[in-house]
Amino acid sequence: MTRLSTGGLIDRSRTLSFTFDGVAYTGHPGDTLASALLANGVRLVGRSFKYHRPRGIFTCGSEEPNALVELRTGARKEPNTRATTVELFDGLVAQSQNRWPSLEHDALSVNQWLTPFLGAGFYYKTFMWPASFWEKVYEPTIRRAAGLGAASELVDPDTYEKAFAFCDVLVIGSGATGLAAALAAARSGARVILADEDFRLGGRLLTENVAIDGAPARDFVARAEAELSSLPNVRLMPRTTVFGAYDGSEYACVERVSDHVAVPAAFQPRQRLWRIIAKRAILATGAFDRPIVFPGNDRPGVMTAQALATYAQRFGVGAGANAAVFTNNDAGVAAALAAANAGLTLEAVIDVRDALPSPLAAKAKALGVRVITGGEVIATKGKRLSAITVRTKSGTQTLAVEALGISGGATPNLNLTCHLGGKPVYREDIAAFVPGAVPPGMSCAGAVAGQFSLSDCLNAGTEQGAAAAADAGFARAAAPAPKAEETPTGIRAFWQVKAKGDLAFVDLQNDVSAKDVGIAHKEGFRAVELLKRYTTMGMATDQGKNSNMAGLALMAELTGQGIAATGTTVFRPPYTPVALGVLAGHHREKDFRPTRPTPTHAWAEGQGAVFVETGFWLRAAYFPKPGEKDWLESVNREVKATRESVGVIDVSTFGKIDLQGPDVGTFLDRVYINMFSTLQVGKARYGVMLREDGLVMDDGTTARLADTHYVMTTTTANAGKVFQHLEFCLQVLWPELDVQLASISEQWAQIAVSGPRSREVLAKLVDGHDVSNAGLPFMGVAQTTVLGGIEARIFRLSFSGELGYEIAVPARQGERLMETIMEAGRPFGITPYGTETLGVLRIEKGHVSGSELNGQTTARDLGLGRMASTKKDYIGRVLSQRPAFQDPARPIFVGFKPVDKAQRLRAGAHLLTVGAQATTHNDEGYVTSVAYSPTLGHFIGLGFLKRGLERIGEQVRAYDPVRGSDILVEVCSPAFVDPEGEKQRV
Amino acid sequence: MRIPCPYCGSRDAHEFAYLGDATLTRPDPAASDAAEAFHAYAYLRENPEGAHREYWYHANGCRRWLVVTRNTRTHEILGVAFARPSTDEVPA
Amino acid sequence: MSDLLAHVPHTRLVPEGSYGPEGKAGVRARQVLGLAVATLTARKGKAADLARRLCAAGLPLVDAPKAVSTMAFTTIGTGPGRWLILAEGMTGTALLAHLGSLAGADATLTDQSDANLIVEVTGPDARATLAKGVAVDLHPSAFGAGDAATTVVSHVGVTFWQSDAAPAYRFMVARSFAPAFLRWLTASAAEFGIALSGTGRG
Repeated sequence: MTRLSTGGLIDRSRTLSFTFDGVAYTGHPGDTLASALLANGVRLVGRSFKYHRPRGIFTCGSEEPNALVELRTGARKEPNTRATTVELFDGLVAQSQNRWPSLEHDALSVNQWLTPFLGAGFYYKTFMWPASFWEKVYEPTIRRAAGLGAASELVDPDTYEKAFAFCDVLVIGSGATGLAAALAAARSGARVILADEDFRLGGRLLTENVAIDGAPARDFVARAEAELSSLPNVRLMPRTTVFGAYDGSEYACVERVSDHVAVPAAFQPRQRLWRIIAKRAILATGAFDRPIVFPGNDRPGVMTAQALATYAQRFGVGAGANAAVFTNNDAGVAAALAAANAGLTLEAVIDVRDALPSPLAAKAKALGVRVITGGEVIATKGKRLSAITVRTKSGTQTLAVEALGISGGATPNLNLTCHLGGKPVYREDIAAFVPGAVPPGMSCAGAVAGQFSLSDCLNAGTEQGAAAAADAGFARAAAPAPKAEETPTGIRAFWQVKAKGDLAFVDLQNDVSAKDVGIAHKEGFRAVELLKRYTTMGMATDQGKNSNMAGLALMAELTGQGIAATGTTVFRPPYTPVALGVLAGHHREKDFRPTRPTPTHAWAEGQGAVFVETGFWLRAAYFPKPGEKDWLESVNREVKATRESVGVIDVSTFGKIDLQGPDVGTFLDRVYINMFSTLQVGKARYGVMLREDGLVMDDGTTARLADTHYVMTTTTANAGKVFQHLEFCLQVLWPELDVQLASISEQWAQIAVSGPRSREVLAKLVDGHDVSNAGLPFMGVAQTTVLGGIEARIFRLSFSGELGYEIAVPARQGERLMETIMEAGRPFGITPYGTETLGVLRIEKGHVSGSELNGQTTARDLGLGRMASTKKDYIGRVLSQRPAFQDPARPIFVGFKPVDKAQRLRAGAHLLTVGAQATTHNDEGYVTSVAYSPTLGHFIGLGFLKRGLERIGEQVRAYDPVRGSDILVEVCSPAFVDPEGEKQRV
Repeated sequence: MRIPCPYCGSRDAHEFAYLGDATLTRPDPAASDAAEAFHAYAYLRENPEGAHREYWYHANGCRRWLVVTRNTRTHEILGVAFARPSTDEVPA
Repeated sequence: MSDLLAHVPHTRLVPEGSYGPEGKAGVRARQVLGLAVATLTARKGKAADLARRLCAAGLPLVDAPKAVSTMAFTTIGTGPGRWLILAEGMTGTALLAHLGSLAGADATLTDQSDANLIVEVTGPDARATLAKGVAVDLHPSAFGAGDAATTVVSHVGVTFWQSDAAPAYRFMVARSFAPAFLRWLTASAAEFGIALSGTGRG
């Protein structure tokens, strides 16, 4: 056991049980999985990505490259989880990854003897030939050997949700800087959100032996947290990672609501995605302690000096029975002393510098810590670290230690500053990249901005917190910044120990060594972006938070360019990996998008309808009857019944737009190709609308209810688009027109009754209105009442080609209307039908629909060119007349029937002259809609064929290689049924 | 991203539908060069760096067409106005 | 979405009842029935005249996203020169006739009484629930009683307004989107407990 005898922000009075690789251990509330593993002496926690080298816990935070585990089991199993950020809970189960058969004895660890062959660009160079081997052999093999954890393939049983928050000042990070900023902003009255990825506020203050306002730093944290919690204008968000900065001062965050418990409490989500809209944001994300590159720097037991100190101070854990620290900077030394203060046995501090600043030297002396100056670690030993070799001017010596803390300096955690394109800037004086341009509204304070001293952090936080609140319109609070001693921040830039021996790693997660950087340099992949992609340095879950700096420093040395000129890769969101579930939130499975039921949905369900999704709408597709063997049999029955007697369908899904005002007629003349200002009151007309480029946008009927009142219908699919287009025309193109629009799609239920007996059915519904051919002629409109006083609009229209009416009533009356229609139609065997039969009826009649209005067709292509008025201008007129659209060879709307009537036509088939090869060059058109016509007894189709109208009677080939169909069809008129249109006019 | 709608206030950009260049004027269809002018109107677009005036429709809000001046480099919104010169305002 | 609504068809309103932890109702929601609704749109250039005329007749119109209530009516600005007018105890036809007589030629009117579902959401956790879908700042300093917004919640277009400081909010949702809206509302409020009424027994 390496739990220190005292100290740590853990509750030693309570014990939590957990297992790792099946072995039971215990820890305490306040532990992370990593600290609990170390407390139990578990130092080997994973195998490396490529070489399967033994690896241990390397950091104490979200930048962890090594200690990735599969957390939980079954459907809740979560691979690649950083043990350093997992809050320990009772019953936690974790497994190591990327090892076989066991962590202790990994068969693939032989890969490390293959190191000479597995260097940078290995995959690119080796698995080149034959190409077919990639998919079948190389990739599966590589994926098995080089990998991370395995995902659960079960359905996630937990829920996720999204939420919005608004604030004046968002403070990201709750260390000294963040707390000071939040206090300053909050005291001014601003609405403040303080977010931190950790479950405990305080950041580095939980680790440091420093005093603030004369008291231990932890007391300051407690006081600050208490004050912030008491303020109604502050929202504290621990366990919340701000993972992305977006346009408009918007920040995306994941709140881990239930990750710290085995199973979420009832009705609690597992995680919550926050979108925070902040007037100002203060980035106070601190800095990472970065590694030094030296042989064997990846052995379990080697970790950042910051981690060594944090485990000791915050968790009361010794990372080993004893330890040493290897550093080039004052913070590294301070971390070593903090660890020693907490009770860790510190054998030595090895500093590459020739001397320590005197205050630090004095502290070390007071603690009795041995300091080796001018020293470098040149080798390590043990599957779990057992010894290090130190080289000084006077020779080498071996120290037996179980843990080694390394600190190559501080790398500001500036990830979020890059999300909108900011490029970090190198500062020689602190040997670190600091934020360059930052997102609008963001400012950086403290270590992230290169201000490493504690007093600088507190001052910067206070100042920027107050300034941000002032920007948001609040008066500055008077309270001064908390006072702290100046902590030393000296550093001598030092990246790599020059020594022969074991691999010296730059990137632990991707097994990229100093040698690989050398290969990349030699082979010309010298720009940082190329270096990253060639060596894979800085990829995967940690995104190079630790490794980038050393990697590019090594490259800079090789090129001789210097680090500033070499530059750094930039970061994109997310800062840390984000589960897809939380991005989906509530919108999964059937809740992925809304389902819109029609007004008669419940009735249709009662009739046993089979439904189909059309956009958001759920519509009845057909109404099977007992004994019918398939949908086609049902549809054939529905079609026949409608053509011979009467059928009924809910058509409420069409878009319906109310247009009022003195200029509606003029307006419609400008948006439709045909005339509407001349339409008589009480009449409807079919209209075609173009886009300005001359292609058809939509079609539908528009009726004139009164002199200044029209009602337009659009196709179901284009309802929103047409409304938007009409608003554009009115507001932008012709603001002089006095027209008011209102969507009435949801107000009216509309039911179509079609077939030779439809008039008899209608007659039973209306409250005395004359529905004879004279009283309500074809394309006539009646505003009346039905069912004894229900307001109704009756349109005598026909999509089916039969005598037909569409009856609109207020939506809440839709179901009642449908039931009454069914009752009235019973003597005629009235048959409800759905979208399938609707399609068959219109294809038999040769009416165009969505498949033909496909954004590539003109009114002329659709055979509707003669509708276009020549007496006026309208949207799309000019460009519809361009030569290409008038080309007689352009495919034009015709019908098709199979020569062999037993054959099935396929929509999507391309049309070829008989005998022509199936090439794009020979393509003469395509089939858009097909149906089996029960009226004709064979398949029929609609589509577009070059010079189609001149080729009626000709045989062409309908070629559909996708579904393996190739048949002869005869070109015909698209109107298969009642071409003269007599039936609808009776 | 947020767009400050002159009627609704600050709103999520998802509520708006984008159309594009607001500096274009629908050409005179009766002009002798109408074919060329409409071709340019329908197809030809500048791709300016920096401030750009563009049409956005507040589809899920007040249904107004807006002219939004946006910096195409930074997405900063520099100004927003109703596309239709508003003579309909009610005096406060 | 959890098992919470697994038994509720996506085409039906979430049935009345309690959802969430036993005995908790941080949110109360109810369908408000019996309201006539009309869209009132000022004719070109007539918004000011219209507002003056109607205000004089006791129907306050504010050309802004505000909800103003009198004894009989609520007017809600949904766009420049456009309002929703809600009336209790009246049919849509009667409301149109009444408004027509007041507005004369200054406005056009469209009956929307059957187009929407109106849901009142209230309770101590109402604001926290709404934050899960409403991308508008509902903090009292930004949105108070009498404020209204037309926006989108969980892919569903809504017009809503704060009807009192409690706070209580009223949401108007298109009829065919009402089931999806109530699913979102119920799922979002479940952690606080929600008592839903007026939506039928499913």
